[in-house]
Amino acid sequence: MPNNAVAAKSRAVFGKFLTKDDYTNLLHRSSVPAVVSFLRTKPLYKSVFAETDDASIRRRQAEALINRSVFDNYIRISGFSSSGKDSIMSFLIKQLEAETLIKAVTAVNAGLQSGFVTSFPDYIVEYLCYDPMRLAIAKNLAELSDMLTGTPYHKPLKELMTAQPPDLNRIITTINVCYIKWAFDRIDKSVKGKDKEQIKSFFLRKADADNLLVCYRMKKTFGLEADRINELMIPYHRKLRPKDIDTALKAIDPVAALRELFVKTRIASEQVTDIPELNVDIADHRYFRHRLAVSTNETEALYSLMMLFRDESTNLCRIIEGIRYGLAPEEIEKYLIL
Amino acid sequence: MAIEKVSLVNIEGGLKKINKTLMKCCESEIFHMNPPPDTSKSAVAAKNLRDKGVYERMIKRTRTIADKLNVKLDENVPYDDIEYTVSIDFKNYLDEVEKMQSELSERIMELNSSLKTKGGLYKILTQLSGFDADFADLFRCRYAKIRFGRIPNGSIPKLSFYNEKTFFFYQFKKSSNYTWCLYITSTEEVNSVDYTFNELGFERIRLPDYLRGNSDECISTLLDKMVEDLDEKIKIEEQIEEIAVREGTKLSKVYAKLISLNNSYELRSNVIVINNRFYFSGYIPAKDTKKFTEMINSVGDVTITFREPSNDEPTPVKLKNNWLFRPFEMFVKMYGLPNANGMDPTPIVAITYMFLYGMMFGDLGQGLCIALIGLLLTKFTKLGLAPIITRIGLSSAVFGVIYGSVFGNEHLIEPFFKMPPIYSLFYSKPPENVFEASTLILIMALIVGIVLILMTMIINIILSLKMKDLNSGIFGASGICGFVLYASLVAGLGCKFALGVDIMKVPYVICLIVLPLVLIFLKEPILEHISKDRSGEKKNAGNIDTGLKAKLAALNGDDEKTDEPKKKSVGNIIIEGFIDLFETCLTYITNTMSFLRIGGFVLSHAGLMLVFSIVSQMFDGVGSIIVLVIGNIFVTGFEGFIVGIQVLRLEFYELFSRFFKGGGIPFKPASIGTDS
Repeated sequence: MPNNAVAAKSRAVFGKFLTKDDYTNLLHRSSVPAVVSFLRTKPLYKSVFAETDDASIRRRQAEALINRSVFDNYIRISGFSSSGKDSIMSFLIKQLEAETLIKAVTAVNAGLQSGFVTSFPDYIVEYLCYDPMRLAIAKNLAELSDMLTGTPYHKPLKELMTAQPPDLNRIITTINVCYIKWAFDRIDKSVKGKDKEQIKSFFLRKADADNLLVCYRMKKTFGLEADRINELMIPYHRKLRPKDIDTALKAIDPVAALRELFVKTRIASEQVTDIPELNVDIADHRYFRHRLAVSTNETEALYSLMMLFRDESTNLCRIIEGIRYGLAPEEIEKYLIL
Repeated sequence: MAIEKVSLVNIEGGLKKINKTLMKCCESEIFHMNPPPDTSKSAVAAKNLRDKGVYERMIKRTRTIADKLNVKLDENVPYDDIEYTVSIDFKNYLDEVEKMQSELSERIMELNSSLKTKGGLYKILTQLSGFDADFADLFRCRYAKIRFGRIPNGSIPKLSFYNEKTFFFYQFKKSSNYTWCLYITSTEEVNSVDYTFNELGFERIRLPDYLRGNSDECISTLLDKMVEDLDEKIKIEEQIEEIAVREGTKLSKVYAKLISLNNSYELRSNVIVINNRFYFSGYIPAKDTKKFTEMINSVGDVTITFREPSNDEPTPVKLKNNWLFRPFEMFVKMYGLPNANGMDPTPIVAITYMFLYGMMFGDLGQGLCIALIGLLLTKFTKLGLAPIITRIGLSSAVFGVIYGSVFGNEHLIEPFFKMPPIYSLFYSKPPENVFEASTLILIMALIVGIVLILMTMIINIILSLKMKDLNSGIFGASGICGFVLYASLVAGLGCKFALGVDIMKVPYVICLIVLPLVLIFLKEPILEHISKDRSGEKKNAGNIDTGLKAKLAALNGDDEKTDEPKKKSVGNIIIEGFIDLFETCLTYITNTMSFLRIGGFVLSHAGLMLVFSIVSQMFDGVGSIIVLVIGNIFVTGFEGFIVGIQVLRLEFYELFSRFFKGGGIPFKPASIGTDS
């Protein structure tokens, strides 16, 4: 019963997540080594810091190890699945692939290839459909497009990357669309019935959140016109209909209208903080906790677990960063996804 | 039946003498300290002497020093030879010991830290083994910089991106996640290369200057250094041990004295200070005033005065009983201490408890066993129940002789119910066994109960009248009316059914039954009438005092009338009177019947032993003896325990409730460590 094995394993791993008391304890630690020394006592992080020295560990190293632990756990749990290598169970690899490509595009466009080399996670290289080291030596986006030859990204990106000047936002949107298309294609092939709709809704939910956040940022920060913003939208939606965005963008106070849309579409069910991104994360966190508890489908359970895992690693990185910069525990706590 | 007479003692003196005075009070073991009076509304500048224990810090310090010296402290060790009296003496001593050990302890900590670092370095050097160049030579290079450390395995392929930078990269051993390595670069490019490696997760290891030669030589040097450190550590530990041996006993004594001094500070919360003089009060047994005065006067500059405590003062109660009754004080304290103006019921409890227990569990053999267990427990434990077990065991043995029961065997001694003057009252021929004499036994149990109830009623009447409580003393269920009613009913019914004489004629019924019932029924209006008359008398007799009080009350805006109880309607009086009367009659019946359990347990004991006797007859020889032994152990443990509880129940519910007035404050001699 591999189907149940992944779901059961996912719930078991979630049982080892940090508790509220653990977070309180962490928030009151005075240094990065102290945080690591506490995490070392937790079953999920014991092996993560096995080869590190508490006294000399640095913030960057601790964060890298925490992020890597998410991927290691994903590989370990997905190993219990009988689905093939190119199934929907590879969703995290494809997501990281898209994210790494976006990083490469941004870095090459800005001429900061060296920064890209040091920042992309080395442990994913063997799983990607392109060689990130090759992308790093591209001098411009046209060269980068050539290096993507033979990958699913080449065709949709070629025209955008060779255009002068290249539209970076549209390239990013296209990469995201590639990811969703890949996911829907695999879901259609391997998942049936109610589970199919449920798993698709995970991706659509993310598309809704990304679209609304892009709209909000573009309008609030850059004051872009509605037509320009619409060009940046991912052409997928769940509860956030294009009509709603149009109405909000044409409102007298479009920023306020967009903020209302977060609640109306339940992308961020309540305004817990003043930061829309954090509100979205908190709403997602609660949603995936629920899905993990009730799901019986392996993809649904693993997807939910990974989203929660990413939240936990984000929280830990925020705590480490906050402590490193001497913020008060209450101040750091405001930025946690709980 | 005594509550020890106590005297109220007031002590005052110069503030400097407070510690010594308190210590003397504690040493006397007879001084019950009063809580301090409320000084918040005092006109004079009085303050409570509740300061933070100055010794607490020193106690902590002593513990820390002892920990470092590995000395086990004992707060119960005698400290008479420690002459330090003021905090500075203790401080000087602790400073002296701390100075001796702190330098050594610090060095030990340094050595531990150094050994840890060297241990880590050793592990690293083993990873670099095979490196054949001299580290010192490399670090001395003027135009090249060398860095040792480890890099995540995933970052190694990324190095190819930085081919244009000038550095030489060399790998040593590899683990699952990291590779031990070194890189060498030019002085000009060192910052840029360091930044790149840092970004790639390189963790630099700094090698100490004393390491010279190649990696193997460095390991050897390091091991020599570690051995040196260990030798030094052992020597220092021996020195610390010497100090511990030399100072351990004294340190423990100092600690014990500091603890006791600190605890005496708790008592200071009961002391008030006015103009640099301390004041506190308490109680001591009246017979010990002379001894106590001498003790306190030995302090000097302390004045001590005694006086009789008045009735309205919350005087502590100290029970005083002889050796036979004293253990039963435990039962009295369980129920509550008697009021200082009341009576100590311990002797009554002791006598009735032993008597009832013996009656309900009468067996010569088992009783002696229980007494023996009690004696052993008294000798080897501090169990408060142990002396009681001895006494009830002996009582059980005495009643065992009366019942003719020895380990359940009823043929060895002739039981009382086979004696002609006794059995002839109820039976024409002597009963064969206890079951045939059950009527006699149950009637005896009832008689015992009636006698005890009447006795407690008499005690209640005496105590209530002494305390001028007319409600309880005259009209209560255990007052004069209740006593007359209960005694008349018992006598009338007893004569009719036992002797066949009907004495319950009309005048008897009217005077001795109806009249007490009417008085109980009408007790509220009668008591109200009496209290009105009394208050009127008081008003006339003390008009100066009450006039002043009234004026004060008027100034305060109080209305005197508001203190008067609200008048009850006739209907209320009738309903309450009827319920009271019904409850009184009901309790007479239930309380009397409650004593039937005495007879019940006599029969159940005989029944249980009969069962084991029959079972033992089913076996031969040793088997029969084993059954009898197990049976006796079971009955002694099981029934003996239940009877003990049942007698306590009779004491508390049927006897105590009739006369006991609790609310007494226990007499607690102040001692070091108590906040009395």
